[in-house]
Amino acid sequence: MNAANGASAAGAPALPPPAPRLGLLGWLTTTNHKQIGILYMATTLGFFALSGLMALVIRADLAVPNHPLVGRQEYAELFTLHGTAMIFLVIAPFGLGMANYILPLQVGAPDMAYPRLNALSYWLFLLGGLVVMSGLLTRDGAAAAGWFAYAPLSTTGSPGTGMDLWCVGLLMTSASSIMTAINLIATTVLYRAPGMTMWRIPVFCWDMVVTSLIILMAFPPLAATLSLILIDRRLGGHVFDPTHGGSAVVYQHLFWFFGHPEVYVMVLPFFGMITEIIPVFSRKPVFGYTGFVLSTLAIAGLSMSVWAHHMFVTGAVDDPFFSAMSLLIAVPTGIKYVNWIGTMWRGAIVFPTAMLFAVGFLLNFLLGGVTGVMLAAPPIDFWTNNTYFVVAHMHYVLGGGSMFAAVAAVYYWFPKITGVMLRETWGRLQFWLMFVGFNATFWPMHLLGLWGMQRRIVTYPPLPGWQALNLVATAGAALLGVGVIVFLANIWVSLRRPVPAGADPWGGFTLEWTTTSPPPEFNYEAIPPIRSERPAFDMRHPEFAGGADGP
Amino acid sequence: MPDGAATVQAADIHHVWVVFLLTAMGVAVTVYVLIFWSIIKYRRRDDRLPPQFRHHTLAEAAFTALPLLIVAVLFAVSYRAEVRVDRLASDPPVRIRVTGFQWSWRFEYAGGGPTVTGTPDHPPVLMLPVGRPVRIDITSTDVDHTFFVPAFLFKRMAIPGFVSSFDLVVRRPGDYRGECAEFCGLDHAAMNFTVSAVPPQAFDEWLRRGRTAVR
Amino acid sequence: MSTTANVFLGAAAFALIIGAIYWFLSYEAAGTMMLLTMAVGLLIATGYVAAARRRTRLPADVAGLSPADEGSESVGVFASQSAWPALLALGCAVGLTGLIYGWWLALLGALGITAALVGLMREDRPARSR
Repeated sequence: MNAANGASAAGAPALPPPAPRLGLLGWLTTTNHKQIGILYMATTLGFFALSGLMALVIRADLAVPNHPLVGRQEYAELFTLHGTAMIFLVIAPFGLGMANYILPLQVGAPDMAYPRLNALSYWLFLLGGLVVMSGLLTRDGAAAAGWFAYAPLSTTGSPGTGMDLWCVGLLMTSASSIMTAINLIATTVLYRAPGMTMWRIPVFCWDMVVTSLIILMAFPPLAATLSLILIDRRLGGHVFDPTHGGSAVVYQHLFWFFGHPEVYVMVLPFFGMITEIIPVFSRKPVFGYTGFVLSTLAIAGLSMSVWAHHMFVTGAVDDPFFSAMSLLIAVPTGIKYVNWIGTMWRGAIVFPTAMLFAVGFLLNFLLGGVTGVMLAAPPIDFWTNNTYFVVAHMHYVLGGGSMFAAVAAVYYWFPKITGVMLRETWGRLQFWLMFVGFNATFWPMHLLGLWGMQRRIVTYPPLPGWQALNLVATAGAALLGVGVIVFLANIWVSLRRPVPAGADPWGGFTLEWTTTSPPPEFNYEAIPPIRSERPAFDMRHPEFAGGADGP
Repeated sequence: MPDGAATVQAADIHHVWVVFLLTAMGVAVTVYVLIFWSIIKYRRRDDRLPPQFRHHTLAEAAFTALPLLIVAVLFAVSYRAEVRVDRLASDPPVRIRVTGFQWSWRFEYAGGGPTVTGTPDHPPVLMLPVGRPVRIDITSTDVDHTFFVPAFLFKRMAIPGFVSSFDLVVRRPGDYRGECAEFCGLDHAAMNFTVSAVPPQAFDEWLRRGRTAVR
Repeated sequence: MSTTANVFLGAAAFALIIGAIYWFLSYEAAGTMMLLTMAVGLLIATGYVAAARRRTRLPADVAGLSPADEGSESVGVFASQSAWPALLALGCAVGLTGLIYGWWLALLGALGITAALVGLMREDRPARSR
């Protein structure tokens, strides 16, 4: 491990002072970005486990045709909460949580710009998520209209308070995300260390700034939509009620104007994490930093212009406009692969678990990306929309993509956050279980969709091929679940019997690797000079300082 | 696997699918090869720092221009097909009003024709003539549903308060499975129907008998 | 203009152009409204950032500066503990569920929110010397 660790040369910080153990009150009142980041990530892990269990029940229910394991109402609650939790309570908050911890460190700031607002964001997120889930405790059950809650099903078609709790909880989490977005932008703009110009901040920070920009543009419409649903449900409104002059089509416009940018909120932070990991383990700088930033900005803008590709089958929208914009957005996304492969090209690559998962991300996300291009063609969408083909696509980008990247990021930054290494052998086992399990679960769904299996059905008839593929998918899901258990076990064991990590176990490039693991309260005793996007690397290799290509 | 031969529109859709599939496979295989090449050929073998290049203007420009070109061609292929699929005949000989409701379908044939209404236990049959343009006007009376015939590679949403129209020209006689493809509540999975495509004379005969029934 | 202001301006310009194209292609009101209001919001942000940045110089943006040069400058005051954010969130949760379960709950929540906001603002007040 230390062979790669050039940072033990001059300038390496001493061991951190023993951190005082925070009691419950300490965690409840903290405003420090590092503790809040840990709270976020631990909470998302909890929601992930809950939502994952729901997914396993869904897969068990679908394993055999005409053999549902749960009732129709329960099934609807399961897929609604699974989607809601993964999207609103796991993937996006994990990205924001990791950014909470890492971004101030990477720009050389002592904390986030507004620490108490940061704490408020976290508590709104936790409580909002609990409010959404509390629907399960009500008499009529939790929300059961799907995670996009189309009206009128979600308004006049969903009696019971579960749907109301869903709206209220998500209003809280939306406020939380908007506040975090403000904080991340303000921190990056105002609290960068001297010499850390915007064009020297790590790519992860750029991705978080752009994610925050998207949140600012897309979440207010969500809050409005949720409020309108509540108005229709509780205050006598008829906004989405066609029998009284309202419009069900407008609901879809409002929802997807948020809903599509949201998927980029769920992907960009993870692009950023991957772009931190690949250069370090290839021992090369990011290939094409400027192009990466510009293409990320292009994605942000374009992501706001494609929303009605979710509405191609309504016959109510201008398909060619949205098709063109959706196909266009494939270009900046594809450029990222040029950046990543260009970084690995002629590099000196090693494969700790973080890099295994990063490569897994590259392979999985690619498949999700190309099926996304297919879905951007209305004729293909007429066939595949709302079938398991779309389920396959979305899970490849969010599961095979973001989830794999999240695991990679945990393996990469766990040593910095806790001062302790995660076990590599367990990590390798986890990788193969998850990679095989994930692909076994979701690849067959492409075929199921093409063969006509539609989404959100509690059971299905024994049509040719449907049974075998569903069984394979269920088996894959079980394997994936085992992989997640190995992950949790690894975290547990590594904390119980710690192997110290030191300040820089990987030979990292960015500022956080120049301080102790974990960092002191306000992050840095002293910050080295910043002449490129790799200040830690420059410190160890002065002949490359300032972005020169060589001595 | 549906082959696109059931209707005229399906043939256009299937053609687009093949073009996109081949392109996707080409792109994917290329990228997979580059990834595997990198992780095999460029493994760390010693402690020397590899060349620390950050740019290659030609590669970056080429890999921006090439995807743009591919996407432009794909758009053209998709657009042409979509215009054909969406085209509405000026005077379709058969007009059917399809209404989705919780949890089945109603098919009302224009011109004093029969009305067929289904239930989840007795799915309705949509009789169609082979070879003649059929206009479908689709809506819903309660929540969103979607009329989906997998063999036709086609679906259209049934939205309350909104009527959407499309044409179908069946080419191959037979019975085809129909489903609801928009989650609509408890019996969403049971909201099936059958499309029965018969020769035009048989269809005319059926129409003439004018059955109004719950099948 | 600073990079940040340029990012906001670019996004605003994009929204404006796309909004116009979308309107003339579709005459669809909901999407157009959302795109145009997005543009307006971004323009406001642009204006604010550009005006603010004209008045201040950030050491971060001076490429040749080092953290060591600015070592003695105070970066800011950062709160380290506060109970009010958690209590404010709790007040919001209680108050919003009052929309569902009854005005008495909303009232309770409103009281909690008010107390928490007052607490937050009092934390901000500089300590007065006796």
